[in-house]
Amino acid sequence: MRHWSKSSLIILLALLLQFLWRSTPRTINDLFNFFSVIVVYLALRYGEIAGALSGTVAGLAQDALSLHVFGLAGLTKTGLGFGVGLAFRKLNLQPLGRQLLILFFACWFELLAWTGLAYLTFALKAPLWSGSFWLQPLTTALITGLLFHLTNRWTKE
Amino acid sequence: MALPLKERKAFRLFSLLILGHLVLISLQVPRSEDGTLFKQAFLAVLTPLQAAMSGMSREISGFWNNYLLWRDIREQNQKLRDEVFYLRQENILLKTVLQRLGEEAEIRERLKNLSSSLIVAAVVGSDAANIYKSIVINRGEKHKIKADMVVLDPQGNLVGRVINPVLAWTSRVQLITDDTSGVGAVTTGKGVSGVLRGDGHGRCYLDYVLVSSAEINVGEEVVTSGFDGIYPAGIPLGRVLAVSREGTLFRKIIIEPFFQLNGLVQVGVLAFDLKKF
Repeated sequence: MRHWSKSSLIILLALLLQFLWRSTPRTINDLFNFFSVIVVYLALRYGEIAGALSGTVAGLAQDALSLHVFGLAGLTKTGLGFGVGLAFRKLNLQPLGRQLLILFFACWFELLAWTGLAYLTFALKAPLWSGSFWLQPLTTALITGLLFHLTNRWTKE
Repeated sequence: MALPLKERKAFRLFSLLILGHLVLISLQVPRSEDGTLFKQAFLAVLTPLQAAMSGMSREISGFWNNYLLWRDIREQNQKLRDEVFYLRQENILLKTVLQRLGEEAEIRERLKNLSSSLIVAAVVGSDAANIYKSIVINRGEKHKIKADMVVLDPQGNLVGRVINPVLAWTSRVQLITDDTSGVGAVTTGKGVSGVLRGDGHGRCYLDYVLVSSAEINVGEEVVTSGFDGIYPAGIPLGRVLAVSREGTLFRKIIIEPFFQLNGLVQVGVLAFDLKKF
């Protein structure tokens, strides 16, 4: 129960950060997707079920607050949360370098799936020409990996 | 080898969620203008939350500012700002009306309604996928907001239009920088008209301007033409940033919009039917 309340608070925090983030310059703005960050973090912290459920909620939140197709980010972020949670449990991802690599590929795959599906099914364009948009998986992997590492240390201490 | 029970449950849940999303997406082909009921319900739950969060952040920063400044000076400043905001918006409205009307009596009668037709709203949310596509404002159906109403910034520059779904207390505004938006536009220099379309990344293009049309200079202003039937004529849109040739028929004209998304906290919604003016 505590996990759920914590997860809900983290999703609300993502909403707040996403709102505050809009006043940053466009190149920096494209670098971060706070919904992806919290989905990956919750998947690492609480496993694949929490990852999938938070992916659904955060993805639908992103869809509802955007002009994109409702359910698209929900679908890809559910996959992201479940995949990261499962990979973390099945593989030995304790070393930070390995963890960051897997997270990077997972986030990259999610971004590709989202842009690909949006384009193929509804001919919607993502800001593909923006270089910083494609750095989103890297920043998401770095932030969540380091955040997870730091909070692990903190709780151990 | 059979999977453990817990893992099977997780996979079942995952499959159910994915199936749910696929059904949800398939329901939107072709996309309806209002969005699905589920999206509307989700939005109705989320926007108050978003409004509360943004309100909270504003309150905190407001508290800090109040701490730093004298209270009475701040209040006076706010009053003056509001007054300037109203005056600017009214000025734009008056210009628009005067352009369209001829007889003095008719002007007087219709202008009576104008001052009460401007709804001031606060920006409480932005587009989660791309901030240059849309914003959420804290005025909705209860405040007589309807789809296609024109939205201006405090300086009277065009921000966009209200789009469906309009919820009870909040509504969404499609920005002119959205790549699916379209605004009838005309240059102030030689009156070359075209369609202003966003690039989805903070700037706009002036489309459908023939190579053979009159010259357009960098720095020239672009205003609404009123040909689209949504936006009234004469609202400032932006400035020409670059002009080049695109293919054999059309020019490629890049426009820097006047409205600034960074720091856009207050907007004005024109709550009247332009077709009546």
